[in-house]
Amino acid sequence: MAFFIKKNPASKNPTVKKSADKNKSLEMAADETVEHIFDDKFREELRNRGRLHFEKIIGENAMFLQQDLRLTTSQLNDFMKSEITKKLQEEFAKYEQSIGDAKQLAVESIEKTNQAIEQQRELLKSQMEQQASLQQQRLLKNFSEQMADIVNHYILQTIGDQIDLSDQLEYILAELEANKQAILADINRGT
Amino acid sequence: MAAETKIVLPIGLISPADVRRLRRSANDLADYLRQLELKNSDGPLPKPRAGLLAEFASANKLDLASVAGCQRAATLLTELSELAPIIHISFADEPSSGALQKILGWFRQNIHPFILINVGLQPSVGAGCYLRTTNRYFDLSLRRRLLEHREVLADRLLELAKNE
Repeated sequence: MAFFIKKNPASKNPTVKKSADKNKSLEMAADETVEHIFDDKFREELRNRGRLHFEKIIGENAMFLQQDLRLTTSQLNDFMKSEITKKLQEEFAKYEQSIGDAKQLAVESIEKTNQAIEQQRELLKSQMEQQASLQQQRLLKNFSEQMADIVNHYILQTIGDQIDLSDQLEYILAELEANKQAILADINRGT
Repeated sequence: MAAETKIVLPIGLISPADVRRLRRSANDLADYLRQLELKNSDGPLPKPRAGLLAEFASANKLDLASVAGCQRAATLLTELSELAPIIHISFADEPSSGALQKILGWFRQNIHPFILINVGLQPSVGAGCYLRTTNRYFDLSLRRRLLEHREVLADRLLELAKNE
């Protein structure tokens, strides 16, 4: 309190001086009273009360702080969770998209390969069928052309020894009879 | 022409070679008889031959004991060699004389009474024969018959293939 009272430099007159002294004495009396009132015991009590109050405030603040901290932690957890989930979902979505694209590419590639294989197979099949058909036709043609020789050879090889001219006579005479006019015409023309 | 010459051919007289051989025999016999006449000899007359010349002489009523008969035979055979149409037949094997005579009989009955046959061998014939006349060639073989009926065999084979 004494530090807050400023002396007026203009009070140099006696009245003012007296008043100042009075004030000074009052101040001193007050100081003594204060010393009397705020003795050590009272001060100690005040200090204890202040400490308790401070501790209470600290405790309350700590509790508030703890609550805030818990709330913040919880919010942070939720935020982190949601962010991580969101990120993970985005990444998974991208991953799935990539997998899908890769799968699509693979499927398209496989389909193209299958189409190419199918085309090649069809081409090969067509060529083979054509070749087989040509070969078959060639064989049939050869067989057809050679069939008489084959059968003739077969007959001669199997029963040729058992057929002499007497057995063939009827056939030969029938053939001669069938060609009689032609033979006759040629003989008459030649003679 | 055959009617003009009035030659009767025995069925055993088959080929031109037979005609040439008979003519040679007839000429030989005529020479022999002429030599006997020149010698005025009563030498042994040749025994009547039982061969083809005798058959020919008998068929044509010729006396082979006389020079004239032999000369006539030779003349007829010469005419025959000039007149007779010749055909060529090929068989797979040597034909038996019986079969050949039947074939020759058919020719002389249906084609020409003086016809002569040259027989050849052609193993590729198989069954049947090849016939060659003056200007033409006739395939009378079983092979040609099979070739003609090739479609029948092919159809039958196709039916068998379809059934399988």
